[in-house]
Amino acid sequence: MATNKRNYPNDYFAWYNDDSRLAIVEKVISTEGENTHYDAYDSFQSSVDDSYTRTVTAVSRSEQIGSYTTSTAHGLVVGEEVSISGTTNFNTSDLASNIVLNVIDTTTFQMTLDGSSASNESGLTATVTSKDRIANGYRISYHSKYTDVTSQANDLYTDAGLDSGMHQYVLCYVKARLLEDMGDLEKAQYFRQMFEMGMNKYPMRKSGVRGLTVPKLP
Amino acid sequence: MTVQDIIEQAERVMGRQPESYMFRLINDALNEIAAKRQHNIKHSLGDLVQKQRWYNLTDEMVDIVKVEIKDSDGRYVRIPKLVDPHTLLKEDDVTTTHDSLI
Repeated sequence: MATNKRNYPNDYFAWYNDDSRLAIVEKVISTEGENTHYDAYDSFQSSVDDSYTRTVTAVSRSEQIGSYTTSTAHGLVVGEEVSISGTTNFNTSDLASNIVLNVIDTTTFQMTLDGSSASNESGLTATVTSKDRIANGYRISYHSKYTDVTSQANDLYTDAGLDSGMHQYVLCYVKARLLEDMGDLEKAQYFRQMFEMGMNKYPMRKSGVRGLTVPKLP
Repeated sequence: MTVQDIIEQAERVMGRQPESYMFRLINDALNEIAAKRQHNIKHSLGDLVQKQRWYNLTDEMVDIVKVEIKDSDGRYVRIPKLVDPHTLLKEDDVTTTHDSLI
């Protein structure tokens, strides 16, 4: 049975978007005495679930800067809070700050150490955990473009993702464009209409849900 | 139906055409079908980051159907779309978000 249905990260989230970006916000709830205030939405600032982790394979030290190497792209950014475990002398307790100091490349980031004498370590299977993000914390469902074709061997269904029932209408579109190039606008218009009618007629539902029909009123 | 099938049928009537141009026409057809029919639904996962308000959308995304947040049970729960974000939101500033609202 599901539990914690309204604890973090189950609090009140919402979204909106512009042409190129998605905004995810959460409702800010504050308590003053016996009163609970439901304020405006703001950027997500609740606690995380420690789900975002990467494996640290080596740590090298230069003065009080520790350079951590991960086995895969860490995805961390400067200013992000992390915790580290599994090393000998470069864990969270050995850091002067839990904030990522520098990002050198996709597999190397730097932290400020609280000492300057620890020896480099390698062959590790240590863990760095982000305290600022939830791995795969959101999922977007969207209408997508089809995959471009690049080879004559490409199949419109298996490679491009287009339902096989609509393949004939791709041919209509191509013919319409070629006839436009040749200056035969009448025939081009014919194939263009075939394309438009075919797209409009092609059934959308694959869920088995029956569509509603509105009866004609007398 | 393969791309070769489309090209052969078109060239039978129109004559030989440059291959790259035929690819361009077929891809234009696919883009127009995607825009008008919105038949092709896909899903994308992303990391939810503290104090980050904006997340980039890829070029292949024609229209957003829904957005879901992972709850503490590991399931994705649909969240509502704000109808009027300008009256509901605290304004972006450096203390509440890493990104600025344009």
